[in-house]
Amino acid sequence: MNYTYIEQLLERYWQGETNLDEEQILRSFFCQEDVPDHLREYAEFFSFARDSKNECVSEDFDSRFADILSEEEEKKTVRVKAIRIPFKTRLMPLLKSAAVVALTLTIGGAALRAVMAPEEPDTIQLTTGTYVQRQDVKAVIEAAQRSMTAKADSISDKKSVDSDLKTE
Amino acid sequence: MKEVSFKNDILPLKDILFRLSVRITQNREDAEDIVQETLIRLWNETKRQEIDNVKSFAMTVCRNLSLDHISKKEHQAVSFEEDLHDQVDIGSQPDRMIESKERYGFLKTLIAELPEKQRTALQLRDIEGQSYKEIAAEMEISESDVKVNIFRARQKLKERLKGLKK
Repeated sequence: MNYTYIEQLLERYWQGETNLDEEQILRSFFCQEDVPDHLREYAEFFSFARDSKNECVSEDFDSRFADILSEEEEKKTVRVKAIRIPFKTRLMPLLKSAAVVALTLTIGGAALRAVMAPEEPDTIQLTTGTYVQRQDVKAVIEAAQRSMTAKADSISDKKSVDSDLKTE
Repeated sequence: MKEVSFKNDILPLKDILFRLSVRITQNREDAEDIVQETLIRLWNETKRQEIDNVKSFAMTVCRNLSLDHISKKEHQAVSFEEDLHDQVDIGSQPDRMIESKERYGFLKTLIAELPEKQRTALQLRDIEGQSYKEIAAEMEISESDVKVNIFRARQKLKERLKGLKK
């Protein structure tokens, strides 16, 4: 029997020049019973390549893997404990927000008033409707004192006239 | 957005992911743990965003997790090399290994001794029958790099297989 084709194919196989179909031909050839002696040294390798494709995980792999998967799922499941929250606690965020708003408005208002307030006038109000220059206050007081002294003098003069008339 | 089903789209990837991981980690239990983690990550990721190629994405995640695993193992001062040679020492005692109860033990060791990239590329090509394009996407390297890795892996295997006969 002529094995030239197989020998050539085998040589190309070792050179890495065969395609998948040709490699399948080699596997089929070497897996048959009557392999010629001069090629027998390679038969074991091709049988090994063919049989190795049947190598698989152990029988209990699926059951062990199912256990691992359920453990993984268990880890992912988040357990939540229910807690009763009182009404006051539930309102607390609202109250906190209201307090923050009130505080902001108060501080903001005060700051705004300080910024926007007009400069203090250079006058003071002495009496309703009467404004006097600050530098004149002393003069006004002196005038008032003089006026009151004069008034007091006139009163005392009047009293002395009355007493003179009574004595007469 | 295409709906991804865990049962129909993700879980069936377990065996191909396992074969990839076991080829890298050289340990069935570790490989199964990595497959589980890959599937969970893949499922969570599909819920977060749309993934164009779920299989390719899963293979990339699985490979990266497997590489992280062996890297951690090396950091833990456990010699990965020693582990492999404890299992089977084909170089020094090939005849004994061929007589091993495990039929393909010596071939597994041959492949395990290849550098990780060559081993993974060979696994995906010769065992899973994937195209260079698919392998490149899963390994996050170029197609030409995939071809180079496969070529080198096959050359080493050829030499070792010939050496066994002698």
